[in-house]
Amino acid sequence: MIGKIQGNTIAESMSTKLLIVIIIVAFLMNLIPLTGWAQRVRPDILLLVILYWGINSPQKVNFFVIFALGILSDVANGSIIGQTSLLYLVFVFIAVATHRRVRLFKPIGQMLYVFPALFLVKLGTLTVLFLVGVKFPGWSYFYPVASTVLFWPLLNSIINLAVSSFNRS
Amino acid sequence: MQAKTAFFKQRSSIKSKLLFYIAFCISLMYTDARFKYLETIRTGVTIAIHPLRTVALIPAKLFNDISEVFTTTTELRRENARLKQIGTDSDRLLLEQKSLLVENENLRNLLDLIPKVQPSQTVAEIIYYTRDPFSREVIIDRGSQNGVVLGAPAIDAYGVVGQVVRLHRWTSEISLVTHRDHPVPVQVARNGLRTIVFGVGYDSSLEVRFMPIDADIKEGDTLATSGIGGVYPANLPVGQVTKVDRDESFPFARISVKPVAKIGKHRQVLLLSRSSTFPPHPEQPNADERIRD
Repeated sequence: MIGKIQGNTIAESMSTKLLIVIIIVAFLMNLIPLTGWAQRVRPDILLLVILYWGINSPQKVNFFVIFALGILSDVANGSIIGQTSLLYLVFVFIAVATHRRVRLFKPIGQMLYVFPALFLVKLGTLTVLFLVGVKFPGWSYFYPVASTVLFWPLLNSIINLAVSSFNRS
Repeated sequence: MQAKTAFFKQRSSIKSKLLFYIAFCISLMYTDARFKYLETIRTGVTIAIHPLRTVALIPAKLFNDISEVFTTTTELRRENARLKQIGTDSDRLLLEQKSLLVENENLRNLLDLIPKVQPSQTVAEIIYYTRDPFSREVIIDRGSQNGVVLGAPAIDAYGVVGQVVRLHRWTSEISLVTHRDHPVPVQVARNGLRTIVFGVGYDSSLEVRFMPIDADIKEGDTLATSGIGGVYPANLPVGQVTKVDRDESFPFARISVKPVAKIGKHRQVLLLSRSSTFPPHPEQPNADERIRD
């Protein structure tokens, strides 16, 4: 029942200011340069923050902001513009559509929802990339799926902590 | 109950919004992949996120500084000895090169050829490896403000690293030679055979395409830039042939090449200015199109 309590009390009182700060921090963390295998398996922190947003305050989800964040990520990564936006938007839509059910689980159980959703959305994005004429980049395209999902419980509790301490002060 | 109705209301509008954004994203992707209309947006956004990038670099800088503090004296001594060795070696080579340059100049004068220009150089630091698995690109900390030009070749101490494909104000993007389908015009150093080497999309390998089965190319051959096309100056090492597969059921030999530049292992690259002094080739696609295709 912990999940339910979190969903109804803490998260819905998440202030916009705090959300902006969290998003900026997440974007910065995504920008931190890494090399080698660390770069290839790095989790997408921004995606997890957007997931948290979608699950915990679905009424406040702003598609334009998510779209813009995707564009910024694409430009920062030098990748084809629009692919990350597409990924984030479809993913947050799934999060909003299923948030009532997902919120009933603890973060570990939520991973069972997040993993297939993220995998399918990535697959969809890859299909669109194929259609616009990009060649298959190799299986490393899917590595971040696992690492991102594994990061979810930790990130979830960090944001919960931030939200509750922000509300207390 | 009120919350519930609000929820459903939002949900129906959220769907149409989603469809609109999906359509928009896909058209953006199509435009960006096929045409180049989005480069101005890219440049603008790059400038906008430049401060964030600078902030994001702080942890890496701190890490480097801290690890430098903990470098032991023995390591420093060893490195010092190694650098001295390299120094003496390159002094000798430089002397040789100087005499060769003079000789070359004289010979060119005798034969009445156009003198080759010495390209100007800029050292740039790699600040990012992009996380996109589709691209083998790095972002460097020099841009149009620092005199970098589009198409400028980048080298390291060992050979060709890549070429500037996107130019921003304070940064630019280098497509590595290992980037999928990145072409570099080369010559086999042993016999002068001209060909083109392509990236395949991962760091350890390049390939030579469309060489007939009986082409005179063998394992261990060094490939150096030919200077044709005017993008890369001539005689920069690019790679070494590691495998030649002459399967007669295919029209072309499959030739694998190992890049000699330490791709993925360096922090600094040297940018050369484009050495093109030739008149433009008739009906040749411009450099950017060539990079893209």
